[in-house]
Amino acid sequence: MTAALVWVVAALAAVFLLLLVAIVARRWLADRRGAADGAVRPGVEATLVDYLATEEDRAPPPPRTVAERRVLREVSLATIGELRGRERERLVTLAERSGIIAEAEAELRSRRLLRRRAGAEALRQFHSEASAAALSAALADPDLETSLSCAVALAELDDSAPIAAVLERADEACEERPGAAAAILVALGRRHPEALGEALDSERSTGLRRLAAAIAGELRLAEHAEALRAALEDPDDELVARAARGLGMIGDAAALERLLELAAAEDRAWFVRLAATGALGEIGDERALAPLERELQEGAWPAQAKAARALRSLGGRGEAVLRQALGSPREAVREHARVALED
Amino acid sequence: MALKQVTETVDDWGVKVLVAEDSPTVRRLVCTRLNADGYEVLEAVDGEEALALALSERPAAVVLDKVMPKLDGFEVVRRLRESEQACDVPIVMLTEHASEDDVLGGLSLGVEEYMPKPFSPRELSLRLARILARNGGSG
Repeated sequence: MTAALVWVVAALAAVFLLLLVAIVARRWLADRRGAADGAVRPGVEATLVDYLATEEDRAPPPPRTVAERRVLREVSLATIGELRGRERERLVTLAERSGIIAEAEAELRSRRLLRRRAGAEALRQFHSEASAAALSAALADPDLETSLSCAVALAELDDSAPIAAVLERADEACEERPGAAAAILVALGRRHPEALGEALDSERSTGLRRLAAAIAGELRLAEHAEALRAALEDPDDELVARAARGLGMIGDAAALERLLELAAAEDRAWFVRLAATGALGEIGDERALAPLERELQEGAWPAQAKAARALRSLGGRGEAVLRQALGSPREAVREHARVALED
Repeated sequence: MALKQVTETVDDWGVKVLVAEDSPTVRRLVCTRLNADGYEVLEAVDGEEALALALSERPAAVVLDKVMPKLDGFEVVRRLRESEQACDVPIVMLTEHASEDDVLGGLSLGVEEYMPKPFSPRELSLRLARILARNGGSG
């Protein structure tokens, strides 16, 4: 019994000692790495700034040590998001020539999850056209985070070849990660606006179409007005509301008749009527006066507020309706009209 | 005024400009650009340093990052506007994701110009030259 106890204590002591050695070794390695990085950092930063600030095409010599390469990558990543124009282009070129892009591409093929994520995130920041093939291959990464970062990175490149695969990835992700799917669509909407038309296609999932409708409106992509008008006929209320808001932002007069119907549609959800009412005001057609006045007088509180703002944005005749509403016997109507006129 | 004319005017003045930005690489890049365009450049790494240098050195203009350690860009602007020494110094603010409220708040405090990040240092230099030309350029 005593012998067994001694063995247990000895084993525990050995485990404790091993842990201690591992912690000390890790700490020592981290300190050594920090010191090496700190020693080369000023030189790397100065070289980088000199290169970015000059007109010379000749890139500085590639990093000579692991520490220099690590610091160059770290500094480049911290800086790339702050710059645009020629300086940004030069920084991307430098990352390509110095092997930072190739290193990140290699990380995408790593077995270690964190390395793959780091590689995808770095490539997402640099927007190097040279990385398209590696990013396309990594779209199938089993880790959702990695594959979504690759999808956003691809959406921001000029190359339109991977768009179909990127949209597919966004569609698969929009249930689980709607924010990430939206980031992909925003990037596509800015770089390849035509791709949002494909995202609005009725063959796509409702989730993706909802996101695409909202983003097409926010980005004022008038070329997708027809697809948004088609979405107004969809049975999904959320999609219809987003399409209505989008059409309002675009200012699509061709949608007016349908929006008037939706603003009065008792069989649709209240937020559909609200979105249609707001869109009517944004489009600014005076045929919207009567339904907006009705919403102001009879609608629920949010609809009244939206109708009052929409009447204000109609200008002359809309403002006349609001001034008349200031004399309403109903306090809520008076208050909405007053707030809209003071806004 | 054409870019060349504006730059030549600044070269003639050799005016002092304060650059307050916490990212060392971005700060050096902006300073290198402004130096190359003929400015005498002062550097600050945080809001406190920016305020102290603006009050003691009285630069002709201040380039201010909105997000900085110790004092943020807005607070620096507010204190400069309350001071006697730098109440009218032109300020260009570098911002990330500036909301409408941010921009309106800054403009009402007296920020001359907003430059959203990502930004181009060459464009910043040109805008600065125009502001200084408009304001007389004396430091």
